[in-house]
Amino acid sequence: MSFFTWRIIGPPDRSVKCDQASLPEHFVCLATVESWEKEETLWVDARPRADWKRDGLEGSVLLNDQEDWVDLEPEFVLRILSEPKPRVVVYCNQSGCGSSKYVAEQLRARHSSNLGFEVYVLEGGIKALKGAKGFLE
Amino acid sequence: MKSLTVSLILLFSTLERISAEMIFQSNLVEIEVQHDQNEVTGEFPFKIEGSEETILSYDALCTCLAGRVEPLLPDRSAKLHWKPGEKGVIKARFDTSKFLGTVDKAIELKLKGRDPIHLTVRVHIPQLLKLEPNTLKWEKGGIADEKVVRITVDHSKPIHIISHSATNDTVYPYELKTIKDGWEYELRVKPKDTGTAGVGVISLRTDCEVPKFSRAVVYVTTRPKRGVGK
Repeated sequence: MSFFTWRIIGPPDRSVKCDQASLPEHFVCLATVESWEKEETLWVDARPRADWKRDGLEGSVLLNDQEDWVDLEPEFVLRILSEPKPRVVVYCNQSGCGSSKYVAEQLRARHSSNLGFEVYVLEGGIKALKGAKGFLE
Repeated sequence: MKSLTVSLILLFSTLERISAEMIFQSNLVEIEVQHDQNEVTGEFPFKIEGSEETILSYDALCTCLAGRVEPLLPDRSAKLHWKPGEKGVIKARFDTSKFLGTVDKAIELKLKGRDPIHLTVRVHIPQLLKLEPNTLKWEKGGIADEKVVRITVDHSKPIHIISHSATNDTVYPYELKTIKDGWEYELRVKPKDTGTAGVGVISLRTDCEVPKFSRAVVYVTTRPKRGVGK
């Protein structure tokens, strides 16, 4: 039965529901990110390295709380300096995993005002990106 | 009649909530981490009120956190079924070795028939070595003046800078000055010129016994004025 439903109606909607107005400060819905110019966002993957290697967003930079910050940060700083972007969006495995929030707070405290970018946490994390057109289809 | 129906629904839903509850003293535990600690444990004592509670899972939302329900059963496994009046504690062991500043991490507790409960451990980790600022910037075509990073130690004992290196020191020559050995340093950088955009990284090594403060980096860059293009 579900096979026929799939064929007639299409695959189930697995998109992450998100209401920008109800999110905490510095959190962002994927739909909001989509409304920005694509070239103006640098993506940061706050998941473990193996996950980033497996299915990290193309062009994303690895910056997480499982490895030494001092080992990962230079790659991020060199990237944002060589290709300046006004926005950085951090994602991790799920909402509430805490890693993206931590990474975003570190970037905000250490670099955002000095290097001139805003930092956001993607609501829904990688789940929001998976299946989204133009991201991890 | 309508308001009576609404009242009855509210009453019954409230009774259901009261009939089975795992009551925590607090869902948030704050801990000041000592400089020599790499691990701390947050404790969330609870009491069962009403009828039985069944724990379905207690997952940490980070590999840095490990949850445990105590007391354990005689066979050392986790006690998942709790009766009214019983008391226990959920312990969250937090590996803080990779973290800086203030960090929140949570255990997600799932109980049968209930919404998940988040038990958050908030740790405050001391910053033993401070670099202010951690990035030095010059404007492309601007004055190639000397800029300074102040390095200060906020520890019970001195931290010495034992070595340093840079990725682009021909463009960004630097000098490390000792102001007070083990306590205060200055990193002085004066670019050769600002005619071209550039980036460099100056790496410092210290003798600090806490690994995350045994290394530090300073970034140097020459950038075009904002809005002028790359």
